[in-house]
Amino acid sequence: MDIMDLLTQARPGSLDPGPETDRRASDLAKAIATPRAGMTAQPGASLGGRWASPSARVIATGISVAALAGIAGVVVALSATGTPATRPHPPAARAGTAVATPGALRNAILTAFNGVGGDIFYAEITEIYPGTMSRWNGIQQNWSYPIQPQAGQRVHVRSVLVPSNPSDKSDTEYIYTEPSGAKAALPTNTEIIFVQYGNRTWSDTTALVATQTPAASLQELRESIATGDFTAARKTELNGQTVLELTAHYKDAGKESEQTVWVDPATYLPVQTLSDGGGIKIQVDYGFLPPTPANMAELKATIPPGFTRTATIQKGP
Amino acid sequence: MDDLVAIERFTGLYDRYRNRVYAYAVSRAGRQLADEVVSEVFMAAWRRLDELPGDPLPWLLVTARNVIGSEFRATARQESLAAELSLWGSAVAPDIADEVSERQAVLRALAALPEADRELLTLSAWHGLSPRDAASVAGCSVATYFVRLHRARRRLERALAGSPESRRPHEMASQQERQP
Repeated sequence: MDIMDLLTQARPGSLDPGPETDRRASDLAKAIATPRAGMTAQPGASLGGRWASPSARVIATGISVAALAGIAGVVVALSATGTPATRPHPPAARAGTAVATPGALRNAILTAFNGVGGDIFYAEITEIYPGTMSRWNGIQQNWSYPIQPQAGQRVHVRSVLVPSNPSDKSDTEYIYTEPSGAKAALPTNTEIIFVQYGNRTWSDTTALVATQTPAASLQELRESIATGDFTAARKTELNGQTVLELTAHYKDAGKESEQTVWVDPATYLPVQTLSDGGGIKIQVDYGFLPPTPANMAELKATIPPGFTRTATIQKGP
Repeated sequence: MDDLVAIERFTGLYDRYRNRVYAYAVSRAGRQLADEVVSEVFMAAWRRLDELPGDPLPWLLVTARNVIGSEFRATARQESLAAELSLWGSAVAPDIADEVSERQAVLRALAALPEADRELLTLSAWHGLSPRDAASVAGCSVATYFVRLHRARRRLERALAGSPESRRPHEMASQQERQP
C-alpha cells in the first residue's frame, strides 16, 4: 500500500472536535459582538485582545484537557439550546448628569479593582443571539476566589450554565493551586466536580486543565478602562440604583459595536456591563463578595438529592 | 453587508469549516491549543468576511498557521504538540492487531518527522487539500510543494521502516513472497 494511503488511514480521531464545540462557538460569537479597536485580521497579524467568556472557556478547556488526561472517548454536551432566558436590560439612560472627567473616573475605578483581590468574584452572564445563533442563548453564573490569586494559593472556581433547555444545565466546580508566573498558561492539576442535570449524574475527577478564572473578564474590563476605551461618563440609574455610566464605541471592518459599563459611585466597582453589536447582546452583572463562610459555600457545586455518581464525565442525554 | 446577513453567512462558514480548522490546529499545535486557534481564526474571518475568497479553506488554514506561529509561546506550543504526538503513538496497545499496529507505527513515524514534513504530508492525507491549496497553505509554489512532499514521503517511509511495529507486517509480507 502506498505510504500516503497508509497515512490517510491512520488519521487520528483526536482531530475531530466533540460536541462541546457548540459552547466554544458561543464564546466566538461573543467575541464577534465586541470587536476591539485596533484589531486586524490579516493572516499572521496579532489579533490582540479577546472577549471570550472565561467561564465557558474554563469549562471547554477543562473537558478537552480532561479527555487528554485519560478519559478520552467520553464527551460532555454543553451546548445551550432553546429560547433566550432574558433578563431586564438596563433602562434607557435618563437625562444624565456629567460626572468627573473620564480620566479621574478611570483612576478611581482602577484603584477600586486593586482593593478587591482577596474577595469572591461573581459574574452572571446573559447571552442573547439573533437568528440561528439563538441556540447559544443562556445564562452563566460564575464564582471565583480569590480574584487575584498568588502563586501557590488554592483557587476555587464554580460555573453554572443555565440554558433555556433544562436538560443542558450543568454545575462545575474547579479547585487548583495557582501556578507560578512562568507556568500560568500551562495545564495544571485540577480537581473537578461536574454535575449534569440532563441525566441526573455527577462525577469528580482530577485532570490537567489550562485554567482561566471568570475573574479574567474583570482583568479585561480593567484593561479596557485603563487604555481609555471608555470615553463618555455620566450619572444615571440602573434598576433603581444610582450608577455611573461609561460607554465605549468600537468600529472594525465597517461593523459597529458598543460596550457600556455601569459603576457603583460609592465603590467604583462595576455593577453591570452590556456589549451590543451585530444583534448580539452580552450582559454581565457583577458582584464582589467578602470570603465569609456563607459566601465561600457558593463556590461549591450543588449535587441535588437523587443524582447518581459516575466514575467519569459522562455523555449527556 | 447588513449585520444580520453577515452573521448568517458567518454562522454558515463556521458550521462548515470549523471541524477542518480544528483538525489542522490539532495536528499543528495539539488539542490543548486547538480551540483557541479556531476562535482566533474565525474572529479574523469575521473581520474579513467581505473579502474571503470563494473557497475560504486555504485562507482559514493559512490564518491558523500564522496564529499558531505568532499567538503562542514556543514552549507552550511545543508542549501541547508533544502531548498530542505522544497520544497518537500510544492510544492503542500495539499487539491488538497487525492493522492497528501498523496504524500506530505510521503515526509514530509521522511524529518523528520534522514539523515541516508533517505539515506537508497531513495537508494532503488528512486535511484533503488539493496540491494547489496545500502549496498555498504551506507558502510555496505548487512545483516546490511536490518536491518537498516527495522528500517528506521518503523520510516517512524511512522512519516507518525503522519502526519495530512496522517490521512485522512488512517482514511477513516478504516471507510470504519468498514462499513457493
